[in-house]
Parts: sequence; C-alpha cells; structure tokens
Amino acid sequence: MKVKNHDADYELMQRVARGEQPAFRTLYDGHKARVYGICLRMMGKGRGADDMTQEVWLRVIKNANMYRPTGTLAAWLSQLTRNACLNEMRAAKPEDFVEDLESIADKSQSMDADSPFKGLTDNEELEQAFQALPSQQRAVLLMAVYEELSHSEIAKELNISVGAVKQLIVRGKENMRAHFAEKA
Amino acid sequence: MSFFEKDPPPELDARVMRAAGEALAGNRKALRRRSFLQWFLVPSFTTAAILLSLRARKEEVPNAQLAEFADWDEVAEQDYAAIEDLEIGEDLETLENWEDA
Repeated sequence: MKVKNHDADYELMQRVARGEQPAFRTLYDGHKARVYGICLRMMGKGRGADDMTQEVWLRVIKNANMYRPTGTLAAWLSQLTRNACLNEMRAAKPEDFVEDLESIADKSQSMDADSPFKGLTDNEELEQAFQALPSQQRAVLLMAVYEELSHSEIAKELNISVGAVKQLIVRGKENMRAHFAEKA
Repeated sequence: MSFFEKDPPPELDARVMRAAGEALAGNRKALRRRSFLQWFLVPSFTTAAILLSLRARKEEVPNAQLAEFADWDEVAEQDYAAIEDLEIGEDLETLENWEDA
C-alpha cells in the first residue's frame, strides 16, 4: 500500500515537473498546511514566513524531477522546507547560529524528546512561547517533534553532535516551560 | 491539525499560485527544450556523424598524391638499386676495358 502511495506521489511530482497546473494544485492543497506551518514556526509570523513559503513552493516546482519515491512525499517536503528556513536563518544571523551550536556542543545530557506540544494544536500562547525560542532550538524541536527524526538523524542533518541535539531539546523545553510559568 | 501545521491565509494562497504559474511555465519550456534536443538535434547529429564516417571511408581509397607519398620509400629503394646497378655496370666496364687491354 505504501509503495502504491509512493508511486502515486512520484507520478504527481513528475506531472509537476512537466509543468501541469492541476497536478501542482493537488500537491499544494495536500501539503500547504505543512509547508506554511513549518515556515511559520521557523521564521515567525509575518512577511518572513510568507516569503519563505512562496520560495519553498518555487523550489518544489524547480526540483520536482529530483523527487524519488524512497521516502514519503510529506517527509521530502518537510526536509526541503526546513532546510530552506535553516539556510535563511543562518544567512540572516550566522554568528548567533554558530555561537549557540558551539557553546552547547560539548555538553551532553540524556533526555527523551517528549514534547510540550503533545495534544496541543494551534494556540496563541504556545505560538508565543515557541517563537521566543532561539532559532536552533526551534529547528531541533520541529525536527524531533513534528518530523519525528531521531537524535542521530537530527545531528547528521545539522552537522552537530548527538549531545548537542539533546541539549538543544532540553533547553527548548525548559525555555517553553519558563515562558508558561512566567505567564501563569 | 498539528501545532506545526497551519493553513496559509487566502492572499498567500493566491500569491503562491501566481508565482507557481510562472514557475510551471518555466518547467514546460524546459521540457520543450529537452524534447527538441531529444527528438531533433540528437538524431540530426547522429545522422550527420554516420554520413561523415561513410564519407571518410570513401576517401580512404588512395588518390595519386597519397599513393606517391605512400610509395616514397619504394621509390628510394628503387633509386638505391639503380645506383648499385650503375656501380656494378661501371665495375664491369672497367673489367672489360682491362681485359681488352
């Protein structure tokens, strides 16, 4: 069944690569919430998220023929969106990004990725708490909680140690808890 | 819907679809270009290459000039042989003159 879905996704992406408008409409309607959601959480509300969303969809169209049905289309889109956001964030504030990663690289702590997001959907306060996090913590939490990547997968993607990933998750969760405690 | 998923506002939908229209047109154009290469240029070059190789084979038949170059060594050998004959002839003539004397 999964293979059939992958084949259907592959066919859809091939049609997008051929420039078929209805195929893109289908793709867009099926995944627009995912792409916009990631952009919104990573870039914050406003023009940044909107611009990034448009940029990601243009990249999807341009690279449609690169899609291979080895994983799900949703995972491919998430990865493309997340990487586009990370690159943008790195370009915007490279020194902050590097500094934060380096400062935690030597600290390791065993923690699971249980999230403060479980059971929660859209929520203004949660949004504020998440947006208040440093960009790296947002990125790592997104990958761990939403994309359900393992610590080692995240470490590989971000080119940091597993310990650094765990630390970022712990700090992110602590920061969010602190944010809620302040409000309460 | 998860915390990490959110529907974009309608104005962003419209904006993305407008930009996508242009990008999709770009894909169609690129596809046409590839098709042109695939269906016209590639067979044309292949045909031209075959014709050229056939022509080259025809030209492999030696013409007079090429034959001269090719036989140059033979000509030189013939010359040396003639010179040797001449030398022997001279020797024979000397021998005959000596016998007559």
